[in-house]
Amino acid sequence: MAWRYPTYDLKTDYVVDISQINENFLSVVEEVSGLLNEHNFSAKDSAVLSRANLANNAAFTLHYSTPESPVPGVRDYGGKANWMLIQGKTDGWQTFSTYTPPGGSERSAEGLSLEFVATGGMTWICASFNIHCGTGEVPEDPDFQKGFGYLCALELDGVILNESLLGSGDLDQEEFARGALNRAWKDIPLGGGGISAARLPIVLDTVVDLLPGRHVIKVAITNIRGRMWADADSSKTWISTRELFALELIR
Amino acid sequence: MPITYDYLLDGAPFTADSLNTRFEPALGGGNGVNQITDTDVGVGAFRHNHLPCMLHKAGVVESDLAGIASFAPPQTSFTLETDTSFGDSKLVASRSASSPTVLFTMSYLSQVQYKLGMGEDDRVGAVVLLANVEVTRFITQREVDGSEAIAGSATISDLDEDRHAIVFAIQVEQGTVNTLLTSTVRSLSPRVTITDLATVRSPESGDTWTKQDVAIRSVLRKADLTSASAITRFRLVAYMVDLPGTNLELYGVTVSKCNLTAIPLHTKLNVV
Repeated sequence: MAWRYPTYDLKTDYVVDISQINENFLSVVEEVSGLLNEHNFSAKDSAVLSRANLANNAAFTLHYSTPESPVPGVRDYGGKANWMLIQGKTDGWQTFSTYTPPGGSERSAEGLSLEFVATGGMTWICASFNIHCGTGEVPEDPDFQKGFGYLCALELDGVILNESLLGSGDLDQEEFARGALNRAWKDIPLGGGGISAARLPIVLDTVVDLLPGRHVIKVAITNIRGRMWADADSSKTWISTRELFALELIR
Repeated sequence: MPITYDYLLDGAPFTADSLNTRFEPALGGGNGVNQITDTDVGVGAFRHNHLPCMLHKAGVVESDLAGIASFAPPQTSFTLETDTSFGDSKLVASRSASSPTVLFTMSYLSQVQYKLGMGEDDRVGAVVLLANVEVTRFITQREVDGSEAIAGSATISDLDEDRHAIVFAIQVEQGTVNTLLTSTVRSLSPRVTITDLATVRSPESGDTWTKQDVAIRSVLRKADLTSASAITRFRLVAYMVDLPGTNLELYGVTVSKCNLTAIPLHTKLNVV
């Protein structure tokens, strides 16, 4: 408990009134009755209040999405079960709302799109996924996996959250080749710009202050100039394992 | 229940009895601070100071966790990390997917082991898992043998961006049951991207270091477990992969800084 000094310092020969007595006691009793906080309870001893005393959503609510069946595998280049296609030569951000597996029916893009009703308040949004580029089997056209790369970000209710953005489209920051600088090479990407690799684990996260109500969070990706796979008709970049969650930090 | 103060009224005698009973509402039998319910506690009553005890099971006090200090590598009840600098690295050299290399293990003392599910006594709705690994370099078998494709250079590498990979994942142990959490599996290619035009896939004298952080963020639910027993350990594991068609075998991959964090949450879980 916090230190409390008596409001009135009563000493010998002082004229004592009932109201002074009451006020001296009130400052202490009120703290116990109305100002319960870290001063009243020991953080080293949970005997006073344990998790069992709290409602399930007393502190956190966790909204979560991941593909359940089948669970994608990072080595499944043959079947690509539940892998999500990243479009080639698509300008700007692309998101993933639905998915139609070969021979199957349309389903929501689990792990890349999350719709939920928020209590409102501080919320940690996080996406973790794996990008694949190429067939994973034979050396391909060397251009494709050394492209300008990807930009990745979280999208909240249709708006890109800039603070979650990963990657950079600023080509001038990269040295594309050793030897004499040839500006024409800037159209022959050898890596740089965005984040680039044949297999690339990505984490995006940010903390936002959500309004109460329904929200839609999506993973958004820009395939810069479509160069991570140059063929617009047969893009060979995908997302395999993936998770997307929003943790409401209620208190 | 809320505590109310009984005011001394005008004319009350100044006696020991009248003063000694001023704390009676806060201390008396059936009343007071020992009878407070969760509905009496206001928003913000428990701040960061109380997070450790809220995250542990009822009745666990600080002294119960003292044994964790003796673990190696150093860890708290939530997190552990390799105590190394960026310059130091360790070889991860397992070629078999069925027996991955364990980078490190987070062990729970018996006092803090818990069962998942808000219906259980431990009231843990989900565990948020966070892992990071700094991958420093991919090493091929031919580099170790001294039979690289292009002789005469100390920096030659046969790295194959298409077909070489290192895979990381998190395992959970419940007594004798080990479960590899498939949603946590992430793979990384050598990612030596800065090189010259003629040798894009096999850098001759360009970048031969990967130096890439692999991050995993995941949620462990009761539905992900194969056993109903309490969780006893988490492990961060790695295994190498030569994808089909390669004739350039990987020898190993070196890693530097790693960390693993498991945060058990008292939370309502909404699976969308």
